[in-house]
Amino acid sequence: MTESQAMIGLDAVVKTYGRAPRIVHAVDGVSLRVDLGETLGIVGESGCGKSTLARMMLGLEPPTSGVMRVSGTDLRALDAGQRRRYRREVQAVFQDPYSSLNPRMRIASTLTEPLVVHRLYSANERRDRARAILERVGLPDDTLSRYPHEFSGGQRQRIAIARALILEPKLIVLDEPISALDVSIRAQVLNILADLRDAFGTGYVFIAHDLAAVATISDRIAVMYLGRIVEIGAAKDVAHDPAHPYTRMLFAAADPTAGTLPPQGEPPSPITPPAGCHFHSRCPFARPDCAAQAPALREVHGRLAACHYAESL
Amino acid sequence: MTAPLLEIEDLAVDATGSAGTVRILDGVSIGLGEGETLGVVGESGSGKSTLAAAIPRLLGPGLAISAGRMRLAGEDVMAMTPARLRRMRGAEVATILQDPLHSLTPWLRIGTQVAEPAVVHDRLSWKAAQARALDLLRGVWIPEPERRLRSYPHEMSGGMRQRVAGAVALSCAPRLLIADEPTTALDPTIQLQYLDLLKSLQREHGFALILITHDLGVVARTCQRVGVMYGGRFVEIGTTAEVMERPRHPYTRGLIASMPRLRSAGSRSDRLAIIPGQPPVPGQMPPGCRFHPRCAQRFEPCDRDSPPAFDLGSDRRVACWLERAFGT
Amino acid sequence: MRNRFGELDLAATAAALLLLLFAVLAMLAPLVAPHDPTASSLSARLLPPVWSEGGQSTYLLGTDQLGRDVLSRLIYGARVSLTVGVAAVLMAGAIGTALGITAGYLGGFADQIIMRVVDAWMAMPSLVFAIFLAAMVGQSAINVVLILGLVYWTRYARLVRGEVLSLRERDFVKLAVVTGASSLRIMVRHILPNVVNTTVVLATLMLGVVIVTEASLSFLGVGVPPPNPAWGLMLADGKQAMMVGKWWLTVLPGACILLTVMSASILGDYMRDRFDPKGKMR
Repeated sequence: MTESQAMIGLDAVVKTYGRAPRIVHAVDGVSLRVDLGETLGIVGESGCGKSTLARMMLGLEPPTSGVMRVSGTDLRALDAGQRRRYRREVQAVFQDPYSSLNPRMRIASTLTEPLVVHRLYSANERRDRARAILERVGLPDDTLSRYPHEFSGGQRQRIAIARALILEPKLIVLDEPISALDVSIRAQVLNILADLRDAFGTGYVFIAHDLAAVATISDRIAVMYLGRIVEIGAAKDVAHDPAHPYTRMLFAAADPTAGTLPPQGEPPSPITPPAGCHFHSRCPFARPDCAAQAPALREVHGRLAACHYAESL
Repeated sequence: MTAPLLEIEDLAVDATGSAGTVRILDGVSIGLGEGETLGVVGESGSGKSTLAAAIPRLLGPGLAISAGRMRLAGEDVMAMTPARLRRMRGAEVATILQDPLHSLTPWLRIGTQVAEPAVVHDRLSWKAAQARALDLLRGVWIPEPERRLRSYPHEMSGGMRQRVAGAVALSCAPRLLIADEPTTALDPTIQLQYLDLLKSLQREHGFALILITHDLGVVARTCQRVGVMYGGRFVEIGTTAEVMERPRHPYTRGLIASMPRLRSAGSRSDRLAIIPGQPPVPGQMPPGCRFHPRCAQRFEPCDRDSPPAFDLGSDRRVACWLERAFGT
Repeated sequence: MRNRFGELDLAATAAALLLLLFAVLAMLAPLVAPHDPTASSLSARLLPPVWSEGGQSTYLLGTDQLGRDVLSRLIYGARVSLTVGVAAVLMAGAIGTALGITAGYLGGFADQIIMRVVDAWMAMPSLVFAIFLAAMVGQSAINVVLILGLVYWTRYARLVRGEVLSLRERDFVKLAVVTGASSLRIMVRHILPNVVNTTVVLATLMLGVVIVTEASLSFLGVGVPPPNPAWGLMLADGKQAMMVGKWWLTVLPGACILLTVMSASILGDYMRDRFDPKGKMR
């Protein structure tokens, strides 16, 4: 595939917060691409930088260094028209459905606002589109004239998804879209997301700490640890046959039938990450040189993994 | 068999507010032997956290036990005097909550908080209690416990704080530990460590454990028995292996079938089995079986009569009219 | 009106009814006032209220030095005080809310400038500041409104800015940014409707303060110009007469100011408790 097909491309992107000596490397040199129409899952524990990555992809925060490209163009170099297109093509769904909807706006206004902003269609057509998209996410017509407080968390999240979809974007960044929902509602939302993807050809960046959910919906999975990608590859490969010791630990923890030993230690502070491979302090297979040299992402059994000894584990 | 540690029969809890009285828990019956582990699974509004608070009689304002019997080691909990209740909480029944940041006092050192119950309940001197606190911190696998005694809660990670909460709960050797969503706020790898810690502590100290969670995976790892709650009632109780592998209530079956699985990774056409609709809200409970509006197998009695708990033997109970229809 | 526990809140209800009564009297002044408030009658000067020795039933609350009917002047005075008070509160609210939203949402340079101005503004005593402005622009009811608006907008700006700082972090605002909505659109459509509650509560609390300031300005002769029947002006006119026992010329307008201000304050407290239970405005 050529570079031009990548919806979003990140090249050695770094995001730091704070000032010396308390600098947090939230994202520490991440390079990846999200192709048109694919679903990329991003997993990792809290503080691994996955949400920071999402905010950068959405243009809510600029990278400290490195380049982010949208359809091949550096985000900083977009002209007014390209920026408009970017704002139309990339949408978002966030974790907290109670914070995602303006409590003072009727659902109709919330849903049609993106169309108004981009000056698309007449008022009547906008309303028709809102109605159609609501039907897609399984909500009745009379939803339009109501206010957010009249809905449950699961229904609000459907409305948030409908809003993200109304511009028919090419990519939706979903940051923990199901973790605030009840267990029996999660499957409903996951299915809706899968159906909509089929219907519209939308690509997703699906961020969650629920590995099984990410594995179910993703084409590819990226695993992050302390700001770095430690493994990225096809969902099947990463989930069934993890190459990186951290991925193994994570997926063993997610599988209730696995009788593995519990993982050791806690993630270290992102202010003072361990030298070399960040994971070596918790890694059961660590050797002396893991603390000395940070492993680069390289091809291991058909996916990329950042471990010196991935093959010999 | 000796008398069980905890017996609850037909417990009901009502919430009284400006909108009138709403039944939060209804007809809850469970039994728990010494050293046993019971998982309680449910979604929001199922009443599982109300149950956790009702057992040590620590219900919040506006909530009251309106019916039922509760016995702790044969003693009637409902008849306990305030002094007896205080002694029971902490010394015999201890609780761990979801976010230890709220259950630990922010301006007191960890050592003080872990030692305090021993001073209050066991009348130990502060010095002796500090020594015990050190042992307890060691017991919950806290690295460098001597240093941690002098730390404040905010200086620790969520996982560490939750271990401290565990140490506080265990300080007076309770016979029953109630853990309400203890791992929900923790990362998956830390979750696993904590569950492992709970199991090992239980082996060592022999307390009975009620583990309340929304996560079937947590129950599968930790509990011998599991009760599934829906709309303020238990719909199914049995051994974890039985319930997980051969669920009988349509809700339990739906819940297990709707869990995403690692096995199905990367297949675009797969869809999860779903339970349609949403969990009922207290105050707007449907009549009859509370699950019937979402149930694919509902039939004639379901929207009219609430199903009793059919006893299927070997400690398995299922509250579903299908059990009568099948004649099991 | 009910409190948090669903019980009737007597003080707030009484305050609301009293304010309502004043407002109705003020609106219907030409119909309810028995006399022209500016018509003087030399034959009926300094008459006491009707219940006192020498009172006349045509002048229920007595007359002043020029023989003008005190009751009618109080009723018309309510008109002036309430109109000026409400207009000034709205003016201050409009300026303060607009600048508070701008500072809070845009942040950075705009925030620095606006908040430094607010700090400087608030360092000056309100009344002295108001007198200073009044001396510069001259006496008229419109000028009083402008002056009070300019003096009191900072309180709104500071409160609204704080509110906006937390609103800005809400997901619906970020989603609007992601969709490409302009800053102006976000401020008007997403931020403003969510701070209206706060500003309305503050406006009620401020109404009393503003009315007292207006009365003070009028009392000092730099507010509403005579012969308009403003309460503060009546107070000033009556102050000499008080020394010689003509108490009704000061006590009655004073009582009107006191009752209005207290009612506004009680009502404001009630609304704060209802709409701002977390107490950001305390």
